Amino acid sequence: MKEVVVHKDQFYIDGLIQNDSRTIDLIYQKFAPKVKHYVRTNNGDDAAAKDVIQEVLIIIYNQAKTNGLQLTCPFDAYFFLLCKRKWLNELKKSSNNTVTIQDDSGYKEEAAEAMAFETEHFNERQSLFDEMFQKLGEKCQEVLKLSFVTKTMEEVAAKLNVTYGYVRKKKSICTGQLTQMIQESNRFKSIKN
Amino acid sequence: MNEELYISFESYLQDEMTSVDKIDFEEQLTNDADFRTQFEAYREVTNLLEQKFSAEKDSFKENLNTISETYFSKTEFKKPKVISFKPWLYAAAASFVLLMGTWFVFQNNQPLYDDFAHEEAHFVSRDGENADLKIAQDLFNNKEYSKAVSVFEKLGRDNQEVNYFYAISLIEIENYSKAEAILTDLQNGNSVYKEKAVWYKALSALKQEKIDRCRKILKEIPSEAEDYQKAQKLLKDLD
Repeated sequence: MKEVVVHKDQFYIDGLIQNDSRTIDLIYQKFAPKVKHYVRTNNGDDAAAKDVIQEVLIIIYNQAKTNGLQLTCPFDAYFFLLCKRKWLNELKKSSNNTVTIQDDSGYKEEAAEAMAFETEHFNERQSLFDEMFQKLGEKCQEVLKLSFVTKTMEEVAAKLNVTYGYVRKKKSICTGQLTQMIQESNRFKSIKN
Repeated sequence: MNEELYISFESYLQDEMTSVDKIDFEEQLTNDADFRTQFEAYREVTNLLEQKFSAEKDSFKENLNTISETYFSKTEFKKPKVISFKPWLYAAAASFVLLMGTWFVFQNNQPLYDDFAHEEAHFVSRDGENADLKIAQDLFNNKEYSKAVSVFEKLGRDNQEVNYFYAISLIEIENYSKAEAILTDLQNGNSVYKEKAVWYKALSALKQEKIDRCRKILKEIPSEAEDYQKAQKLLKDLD
């Protein structure tokens, strides 16, 4: 494993994970104006900027919660890149790329690029996961959901009126099945490359 | 599909393996790249499932939404305020200033803890999500600090925001040593409360009338800190 030097801005990530209002508020105060300005100068309005910021913060939160997230660059650069690219994607989707985009060229930071890329990658995997979960059999969906919202597997077994051994085995197999469905999907193969 | 494989992944993740099996499993993880990839994929799906059904995620989204609404409504509709200042108001204002001036002269010059300590807790975004947290928050905001402390004591210590308000409550009930221990932890940590903890350490000294100590701590607060202006004002008042 490579030694990672964590940036001092990591506290923004830690605050997000803890759902700390003051940290979230600080993120808005410090970093939202730049995103607003960017969206405004690129065919958008404040409502669009608001959505972009919110969606990006949810993605960061999900990644940090799911796999852990260690910031190796300033939060500002990472966050802005994610917001910017998210907005560019929105524009592409809605207008078939006929709008002109003012790019703040020259501004490139490798560490931030790599971090943003990893986050976008995670987001892709998560949405593929959501899609595949819907394709799982009903029984699997039920067992998995119950396993994660119920405190103990004994309680899950009682709720489903089956044995503890059965529910544990079923959970493993369903999770395995879901893992396999994700890996075998074409979308996964295209994300991977 | 290899059922046995998934069952072994699950029992490893749940830490239900015998120590012998665990050693074998970990050895395979180190030596067999394919096995490791499979396991990592299984683990990520497990984490994604946990996240999908997590109630915390929903309260995060709600909290985020509230903060976002507040931020954008504040900045979106900001219009220049037109104030018509009527002449007679000047007279009233002037006499008010005069009155305040006289009042201040007769005040004790020593600044007080209560002039500077103003915090309100908002760590619960939704009722019922964590009953104790909500109770602690309400008690704190109602200034019932000793009751708040007994609730804070029951809560875990991994939330920096909660620790911060716990420390303030302790200062209020004059349990200074415990308060300062928590503030020192916050100060050594890496959260938005890092510098706020120093500010409250200074206020704790002020409340104990340890003026030299207070002054010394205030000087540690860096100029980019949120409480810097207040710290400077207090420093000036102390002189």
